Amino acid sequence: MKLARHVRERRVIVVCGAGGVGKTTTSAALALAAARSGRRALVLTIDPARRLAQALGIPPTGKAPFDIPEERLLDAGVHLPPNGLLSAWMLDPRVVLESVVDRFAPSPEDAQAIRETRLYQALSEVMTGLQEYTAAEALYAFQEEGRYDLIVLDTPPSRNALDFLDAPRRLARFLDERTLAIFAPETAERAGAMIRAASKVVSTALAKTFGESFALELRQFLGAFGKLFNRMRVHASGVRELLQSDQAAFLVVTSPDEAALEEARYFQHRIGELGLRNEGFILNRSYASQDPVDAPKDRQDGHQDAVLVAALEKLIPLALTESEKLEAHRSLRSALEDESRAEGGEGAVALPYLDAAVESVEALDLLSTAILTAES
Amino acid sequence: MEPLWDRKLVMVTGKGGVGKTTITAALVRRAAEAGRRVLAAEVSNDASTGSPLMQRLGRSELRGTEPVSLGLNIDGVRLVPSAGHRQFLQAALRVRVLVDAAMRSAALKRFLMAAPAFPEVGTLFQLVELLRRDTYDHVIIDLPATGHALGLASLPRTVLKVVPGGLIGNAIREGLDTMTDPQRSHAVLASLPEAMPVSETVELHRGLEKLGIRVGGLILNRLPLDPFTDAERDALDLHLAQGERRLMGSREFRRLDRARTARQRFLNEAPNGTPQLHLPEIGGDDQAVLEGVIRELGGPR
Repeated sequence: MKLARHVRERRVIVVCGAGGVGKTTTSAALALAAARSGRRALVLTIDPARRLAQALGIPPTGKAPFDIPEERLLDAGVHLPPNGLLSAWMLDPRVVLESVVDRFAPSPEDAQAIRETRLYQALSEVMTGLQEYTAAEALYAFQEEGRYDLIVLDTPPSRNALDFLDAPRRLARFLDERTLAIFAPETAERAGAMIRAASKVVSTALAKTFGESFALELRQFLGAFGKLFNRMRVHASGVRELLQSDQAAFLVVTSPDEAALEEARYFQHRIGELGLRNEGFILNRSYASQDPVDAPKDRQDGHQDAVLVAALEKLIPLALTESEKLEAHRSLRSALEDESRAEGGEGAVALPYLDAAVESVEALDLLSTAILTAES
Repeated sequence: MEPLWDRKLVMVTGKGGVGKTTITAALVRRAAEAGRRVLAAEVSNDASTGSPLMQRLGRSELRGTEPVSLGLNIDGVRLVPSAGHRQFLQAALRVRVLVDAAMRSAALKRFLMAAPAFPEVGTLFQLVELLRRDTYDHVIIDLPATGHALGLASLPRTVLKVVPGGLIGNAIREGLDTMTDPQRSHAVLASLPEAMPVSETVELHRGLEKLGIRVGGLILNRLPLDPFTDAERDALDLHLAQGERRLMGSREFRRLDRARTARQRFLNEAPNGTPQLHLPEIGGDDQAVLEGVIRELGGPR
């Protein structure tokens, strides 16, 4: 797999993987690699990666993407070509949802009416689920806006992360006129006997489980939200089309950790299930990419310092563990390579192991260099 | 230190990959060995996928939504949204035919799974129903990874704002009362000796306490054995800074360093008074690790 090609040619890169594998850092490094190739790149993250944000000088509560100042990058020795831009946004589901309502409501009064229902207010409080809906929406909005050549989407670290691909469709199905008809008795009256019967069961169930007042409010909310629906459906299919096209690439990030690998394989499977293709795996935090090394024994000779000699002696078992891991990680990389190719992907790339602070511009630059040169 | 499993409801959570499931299984086994009747519960969105918790408790697969015996004093159950949905419809409609009709309604199913928070409401409802039965001394639950756990824990209040009454409202109020009663419930947070997991655990601790959920214990898992004296460490540090070529073993040496720093931060930054348990790195397969953790948890009192 040549990561450089994806970074230079795609318009969207979706990065998936378990939590704690360096997904956000990798996403930022991919965007930086694009910026270094003279593209305008945005990294869109749902993870509040605070230290990374600090390193890049991103204000904590931004309502819009933030362009990383050139000086920040220059301080770390990163020079961008004239057209290069690195921009970042920690996605705030509330802000996105609000803009969806503002843009899609038929009138400002309608938008206001939606915002005032208790349900809408609760909706913007419940973060679970909402993130997935809004990620797709934000991606589409930025894509339409055309300000960026590449958008790197860092997905949330959960198994549901890819629900955002399904979310617009699920939401669309849910807001389908027929579904709404079942919830809204007024429309059901005009419908056929089947829908009337179904509507009756549903309203009885809702009233009894949630109480009459909630059931009524739910109907009002769905009524108001339903007006937005047709336009949202257009967006939903727009997102899917974009992600299915060759303008988009999916990458799965993993560490050598067993739990992370299991998630990575799950994502590979899930991406396929959604009718898309995982371009390849990125193996992070592994010892697989390796420079020439000495063994502790080589260094013991000729040293007078008894403490150092003792320390080097204790390092021998650690060196053994490390070289075992190194071998294991290399076979893991080639196993991932095979697994990727078997599903029509391009392979697997191991990014360098970062000893020191991972969340710094210097580390991002190092990773972006590896991204521009890595080949499997 | 009181045994970590000693509450009616024990919620185990932490970042993905920190050994949360193994710790849950170990607490379940310890409590059962102490002669308590235990229900091991696992939250999953889909009952058809494999169950890591049940696997560790000796059951390769667990279908259905009713508790199943996994051995002496241990039952297992999976908390699946649709099970809770069915249960609340059953309680509301009483008539089976109507429940079946409602669950068959594609519209209702879509609504329950697609509307944000409704899957979690289903999970919570099923949990409340199991707690009500009073069959178990302890319900020990393997919660999803961090972000999701906070969402799940803050859910009852959010839902109560919109659904103050009715069957759902009442059940959720009951669940919230149990979760926030320190005599009946607490959370156990698992973490690893690395920078990010420690930060997240400290944050999660604060977040849960803000929601009125007591944190009964913090577990720092997989602490590597560090053989170096301070003097040896300094000597090696100096030596590593000079060498031109990398030294094999230096990455593992740095890992010990990071673990030491992270452990110190865990001790300093986690709120005082919450018991901490530090577990050593244990080698071997899932089952060997589980047996090791059970030994480390200490005997029942």
